[in-house]
Amino acid sequence: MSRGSGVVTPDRVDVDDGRPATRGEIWRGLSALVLLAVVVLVPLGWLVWMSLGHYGAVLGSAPWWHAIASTLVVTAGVVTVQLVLGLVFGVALWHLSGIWRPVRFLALVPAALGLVVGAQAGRAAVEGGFVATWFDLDPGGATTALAGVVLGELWRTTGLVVVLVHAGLSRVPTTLLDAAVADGASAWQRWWRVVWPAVTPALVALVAFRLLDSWRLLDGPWLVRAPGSFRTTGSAVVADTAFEGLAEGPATAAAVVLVVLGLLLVGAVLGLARVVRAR
Amino acid sequence: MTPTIPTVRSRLTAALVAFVLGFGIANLAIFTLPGPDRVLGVVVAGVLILTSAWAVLVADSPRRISVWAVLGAEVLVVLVLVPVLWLVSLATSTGGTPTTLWPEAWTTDAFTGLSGDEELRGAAGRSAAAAVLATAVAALPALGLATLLARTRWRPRRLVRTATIAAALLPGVALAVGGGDLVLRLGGPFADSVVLRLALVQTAIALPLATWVLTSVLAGAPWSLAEAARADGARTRTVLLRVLLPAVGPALLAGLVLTALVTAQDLALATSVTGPQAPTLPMLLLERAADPAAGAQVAAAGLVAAVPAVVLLLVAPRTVTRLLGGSYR
Repeated sequence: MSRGSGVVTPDRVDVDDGRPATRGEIWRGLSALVLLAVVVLVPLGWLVWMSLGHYGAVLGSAPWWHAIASTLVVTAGVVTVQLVLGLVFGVALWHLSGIWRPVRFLALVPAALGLVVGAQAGRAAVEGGFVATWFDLDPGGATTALAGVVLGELWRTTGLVVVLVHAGLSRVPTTLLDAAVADGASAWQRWWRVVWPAVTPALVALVAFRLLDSWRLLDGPWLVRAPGSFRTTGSAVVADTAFEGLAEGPATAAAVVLVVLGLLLVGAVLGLARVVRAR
Repeated sequence: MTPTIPTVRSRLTAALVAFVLGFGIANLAIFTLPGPDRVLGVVVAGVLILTSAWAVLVADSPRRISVWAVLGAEVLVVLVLVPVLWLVSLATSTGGTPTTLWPEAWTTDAFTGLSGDEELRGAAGRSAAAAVLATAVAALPALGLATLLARTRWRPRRLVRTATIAAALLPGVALAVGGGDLVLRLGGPFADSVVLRLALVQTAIALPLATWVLTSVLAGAPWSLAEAARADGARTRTVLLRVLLPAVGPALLAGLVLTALVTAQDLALATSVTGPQAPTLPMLLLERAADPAAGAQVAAAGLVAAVPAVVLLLVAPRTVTRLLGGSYR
């Protein structure tokens, strides 16, 4: 384990990769898979079964697609802002050694707070709070409220993204970097020829993780839901329809559509990343 | 890598960026911000401008110091602390939403009120009990699966690993709408106990997450040392207690605590199996947050509820980072 960076580097991982699994290990692993099937696949199967016959109502619903469009905007916004900030701060702090520990701790503190608390803080900041005072924002409005809770989510998780990008950068092979320096490579050449190829898998995994996490964002949008407004996320519409509207049929179909769209989205991003890396 | 000495141009560019940032913030603070926030803004701007001046002084220095790193650390700390201060401002307000970042009133009523709030204590207890139970149920199977994924060349391990991560990132509402209905139909102890119903549905969060973090833990275990001890004649129990547990025990515990803390954050699954008469902490906070007048209460409860996670970060920051970044490999 690399003590300096806090990240397990591939050359030091002590994994017996070549050993075939014993029968006992397979049985112990299968117990988890059976439990996973009970708590995840059974509800999903039941969800799909219950949704049959309700897709017409969901797929033909303009408010639903408006909510999906809002979810796409929120997801794209969150992922883009976090990726940019993560890279900027991760690269800037890459060689910080002495004070990295306190900075890392402070960066992770917001992630310790609850989703509802972060969303409420963000909403309060833009609805009459300090952000509204500083930038003279008008009160109210569904868009302002949604922007507030998204701001809360950005604040809550951006520090975590910075720490993870930093961890990804710490995996860049030091021998390659030293060799590039010895060969007289400029900072840009080192970045594009050594660092970027090494850090891309970590960034792709991080983007996929943040993409799915933002796509399912529920707490904040549910907090600021307004009847009839499409300024919300797909998860909040499903929850509102199922738990408040008690219309379980359309809610199940909407939930299935939400899962499928999320998988398609992350599949498209992973496919795009593979094509870009292959070039 | 042995850090190279930054060029003079790099340091001077960083100095310019620090100065522009500081100058912009100073102008915003002096001309736009109200009283106490103006002082805060000027202090931040002062630090940035001082950093700029220091960067100019050390620009030609042979020391391996990175001005970008210092500037990045300063800006990141400000970006993180501004909302934390806002949460404190909300929690210490006397009613309604405060209009400044710096606390307008330093009342601790919201914090002292927490201890006498039976509903809040009940909700927090329910959340904690269900999350701990779900994590306990998930721990052993997750450890078995994590061993399989981390240590062996089991053929479908890549597929299983992807499926596990996908399960951890599924929209909670999908599982809630599908699974909640099924759990509510269960009889026996599930019909009477909210905590059991919560733990059952929240296992869908705890199991994939525990597998994810425990795979990271086991990937860093000293397996070759364990094999050497076994070759020297040590029994399985001795290897487990003398070699593996001291090496991975703390990370294992941190991983399970992390799993329980994340599981306790669940809103969607909990809403599907319980109602306003027996809410979990996120459900109760969501209900109360709808009323802007209860902002202080919600912020105070949120700050107090974050204490276990902050303690975990203080005790094992490197382990938490490693566990969260486990998907990279």
